[in-house]
Amino acid sequence: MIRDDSTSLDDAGLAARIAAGDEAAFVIAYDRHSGFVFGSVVRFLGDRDAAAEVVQDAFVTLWRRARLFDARSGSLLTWLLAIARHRAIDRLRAEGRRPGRDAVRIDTAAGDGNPGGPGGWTEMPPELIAGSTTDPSEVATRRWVQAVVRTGIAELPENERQVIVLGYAQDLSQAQIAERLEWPIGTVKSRTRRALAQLRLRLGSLPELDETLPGQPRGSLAAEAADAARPDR
Amino acid sequence: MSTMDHAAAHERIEDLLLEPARLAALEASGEPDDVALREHLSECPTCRSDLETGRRLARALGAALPDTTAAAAAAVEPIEPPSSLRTRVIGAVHDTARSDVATVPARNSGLSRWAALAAVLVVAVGAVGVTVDQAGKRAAAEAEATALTNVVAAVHRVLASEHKVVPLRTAAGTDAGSISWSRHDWVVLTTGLTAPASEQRYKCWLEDSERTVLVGQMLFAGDTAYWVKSVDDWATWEIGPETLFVVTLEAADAQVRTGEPVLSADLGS
Repeated sequence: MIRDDSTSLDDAGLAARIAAGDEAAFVIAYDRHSGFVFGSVVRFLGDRDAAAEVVQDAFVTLWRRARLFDARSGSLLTWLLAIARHRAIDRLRAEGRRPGRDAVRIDTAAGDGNPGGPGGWTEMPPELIAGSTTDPSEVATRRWVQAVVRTGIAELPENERQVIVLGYAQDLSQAQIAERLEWPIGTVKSRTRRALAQLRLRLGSLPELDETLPGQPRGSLAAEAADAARPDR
Repeated sequence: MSTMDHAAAHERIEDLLLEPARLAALEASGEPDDVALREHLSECPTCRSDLETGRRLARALGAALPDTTAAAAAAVEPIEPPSSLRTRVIGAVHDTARSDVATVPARNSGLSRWAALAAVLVVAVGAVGVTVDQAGKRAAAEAEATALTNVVAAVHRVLASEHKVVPLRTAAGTDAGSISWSRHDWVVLTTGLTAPASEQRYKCWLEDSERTVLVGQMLFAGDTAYWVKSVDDWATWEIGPETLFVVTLEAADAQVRTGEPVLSADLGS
């Protein structure tokens, strides 16, 4: 039975209520997933204002196309991310076609995670713009996965974020991390395990993780989201 | 035969995932536990799949992070959306919802015909309410108008989302209305019933080969009988190929079906 307490609904229940025109359910979905989608798009585009427009577009698409969501193909977050990715790439292409421009300038904003600073990029690579000699969709996919994975790490509690950064950016062993942070080795291991479990949960159904590997089929959810992301018919 | 059991292999994989360098070195490692794990993997597709999932995540994490700690820490600083975005998005959706209600497209289905009929009935019942000079009858007419307004609203909700419409048929097999449903609402509309005696009701049932469940009863507004239900306050039912919706004439307090079908619809058709 579907209850009025929509906060306890799983993705399928939430999408069903949104498809039926339930604005309260939509607000819950927004509060549940907007942070992750926004963080990913900001990291991808490097522009908070543009990211806000893409996120708005993605959530309005959710409102209009929630009936197309199929929980068997993946999570609602993955679906929203796929829509946002299409919108963001469309935006880059549109800007890249402007006369006299060979790169998309990135506007960085202090205090917002500084996507243009260390670890980010200050100009969108020209390969992302149609007409380049490198396959722009491959470059875009790599950039997108990077943005989403970084956002997944950013959503972890700080002490879990630290062990992932030290372990996966610097290849430190668990013992070295324990020494560096002056934590017991057991604490380092348990925090790393929790972090990896959370990342697997949030990122595991991301189809682009497979797309970056040779011979892997494209996720059906990505195809559904691509369908949802098409302009209103 | 592998010397490492499934649980030990799973634990070893989880350990390797803690350190990407050891994970990458698994194939070449001479450590006894790694050798035993490799033997187990050669016989266990489940553990091979677990390991591959972990490797995929590990590769994605490694590729996503810059090499220096300071750069990596900066790259994964949390980014919060502006609060104004929430207001904007919810406002945009609210406006969209209102315009959608105002422009629900007319569809060439039996249901849209019913929507039009129900809307006409609302007007007709309202008009009757104005001309009747008796407070009780006026209240009853207004109640019917309100009920039909709710029917119209439910019809619009059904039409606006993915839905299915199936004809209702009399025992003789003639069309007598329709039953339609979306994920959220059920609407039954028919002109094939006449108002029952005061101690009787037309009861609605869902049934298949295994069970029969009472789901409601038909109400009347003029010559139209209807039943509207939201899934919010009604247990879900898996619609299978043999599921029937049946209307029978029963005693007002009946909880078990005894009457013969007056109307029925094959929901799995």
